[in-house]
Amino acid sequence: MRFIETTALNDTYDLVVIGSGFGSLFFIHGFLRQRPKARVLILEWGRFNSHQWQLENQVNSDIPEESVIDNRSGKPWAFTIGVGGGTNCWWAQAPRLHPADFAMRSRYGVGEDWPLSYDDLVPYYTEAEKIILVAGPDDISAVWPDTPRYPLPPHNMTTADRILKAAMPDKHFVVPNARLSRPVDGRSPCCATARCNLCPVDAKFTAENSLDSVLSHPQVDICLSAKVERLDAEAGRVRRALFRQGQREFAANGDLFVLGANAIYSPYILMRSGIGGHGVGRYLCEKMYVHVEAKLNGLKHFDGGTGTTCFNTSLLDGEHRRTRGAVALYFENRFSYGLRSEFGRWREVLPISFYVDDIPQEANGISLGDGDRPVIEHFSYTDYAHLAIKATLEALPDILSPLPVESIEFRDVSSTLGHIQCTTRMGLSNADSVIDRDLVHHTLRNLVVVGTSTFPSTGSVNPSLTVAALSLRSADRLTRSAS
Amino acid sequence: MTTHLPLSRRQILVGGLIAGVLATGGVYVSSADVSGYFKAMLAHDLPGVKISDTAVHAFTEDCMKVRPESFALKLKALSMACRIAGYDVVKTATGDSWEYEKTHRFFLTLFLISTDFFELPDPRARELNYVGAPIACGNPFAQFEHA
Repeated sequence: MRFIETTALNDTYDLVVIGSGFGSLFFIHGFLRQRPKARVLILEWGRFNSHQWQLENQVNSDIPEESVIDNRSGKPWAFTIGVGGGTNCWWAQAPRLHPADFAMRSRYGVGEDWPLSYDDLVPYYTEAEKIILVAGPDDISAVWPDTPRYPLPPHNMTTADRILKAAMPDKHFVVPNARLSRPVDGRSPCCATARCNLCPVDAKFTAENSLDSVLSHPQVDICLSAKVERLDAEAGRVRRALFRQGQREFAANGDLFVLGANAIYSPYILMRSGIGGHGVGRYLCEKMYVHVEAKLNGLKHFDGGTGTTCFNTSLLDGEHRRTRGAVALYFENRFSYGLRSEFGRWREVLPISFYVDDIPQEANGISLGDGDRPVIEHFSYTDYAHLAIKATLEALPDILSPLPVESIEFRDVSSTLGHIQCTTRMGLSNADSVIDRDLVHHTLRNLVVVGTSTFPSTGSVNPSLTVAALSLRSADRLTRSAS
Repeated sequence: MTTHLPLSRRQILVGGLIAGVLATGGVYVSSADVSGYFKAMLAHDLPGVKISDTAVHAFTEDCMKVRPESFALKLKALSMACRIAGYDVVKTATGDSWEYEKTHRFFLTLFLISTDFFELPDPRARELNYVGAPIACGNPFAQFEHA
């Protein structure tokens, strides 16, 4: 990696990228493939905290989230500031969104349609899965059409998963993830530690272990501790990114700008820059994250090959989405709440987590405040999500009926899932969104916004793979149109 | 007709004590208190299993540094209550509390996987070896194709 001082900045760059998480790095990957001689500058607010540093300090970043937001929302917001961004802290679940997630308004009359379809993303999903070395099953096309064989074989199911798979082969699947299921290039496979944000064996995809081709590309300069304050636009184009390093302000000039801070800071930078579009900083959203335990009678659990082994699609899509959210059921192979305490029955418990999608509300969002931190004023989930939780708890006895279930016990709702979304949404025009289907700002045509902020809706599952695919697609479209 | 015995004054005081410690956060609890709590808990949960004082002491030392903080605070509250009122009263006073059960299971699980308990065909046959909390690969039941 070439870390440069501000004194060594070029006069201008072909591409200036703000932030270095999934969205930014996959965009650069796609961009440099088509334009390998382009000069690229990454402006990263944080430092480069190596995997080793993160393990030694048991944190992903030296900048705590709460220190950089004025959080009045009553809930935490999880993100990582530093080289690699969310690739450091993610838990490496790598599902695609469901085709229906892209067409919620037209299929179910709620939420928003995306301005592109699942089919538009298929080749880029496939490419992203290859880059992050997804381990997954061969039968997943039943859920996500046209998914080719994953690069790595799936992790082992648990005994409970095998029973459920046999009972409902079209609804219970090994969850694809970017934790190695086999050793690759000196990296160890996952050994089910289930602390993926700080994976002790480096089995999980991170920018550091897998995107060195981007970070150490000879055309890429990285400027650390560079906090972008605003973008300077004139005559319909962004001209420079103004950033602060310490007490001094600097400018980075470029032809094309990619904004990939995160779903709080990307809209904040746009707002500080006076750059508009419908919903900049609004529609702040997260899925809900709910936990239950099924106490089992005589069936021993925790014998799978990774921390989360399977997911169940019984409640993922269907007419119920007209009135309540999609639910992805995740079958945990980790001691979420410990073993059972009855002697000899230690393993007779199955933790299940579920993600619940929600309809983004315009009232939820960030504002500039009067300091130098975004204010998260307010946040609430809607009945759309709450009704989904209720329906899931009612449906679980039937879904789990192939297992010897003694009881199903609600545990809690986590205060965050770590998927901050929807604050610079893509859509058809300035009247309904901030960016277009290629992630380009509707009026500033040399400004690309990447990351989870661009999602028009939360989608039913984890967003990182989709972020990567969207960035690859955007880079592909922009470089092809330019050439 | 079933008559429920009212909670004793002692149990109510213990419940209040735990709540108070959790609310204020700031309380000094010695490692001897925590050891005492663990010793009682393990005797209750693992009857007939031979656990040395050295193992309990080492586990206590590890747990005094445990993350997340919420568990550490609950451990302090339970340890203090246990010293004052005894383990059985604490267990009765906490009743069906999920917060208590969660804490209890967290530390019991941590102890079990920090020893050779699951490697022994009969864990009552000999004294457990305490090896410390696993830094990685801590699920002794996980099955891998690559193994």
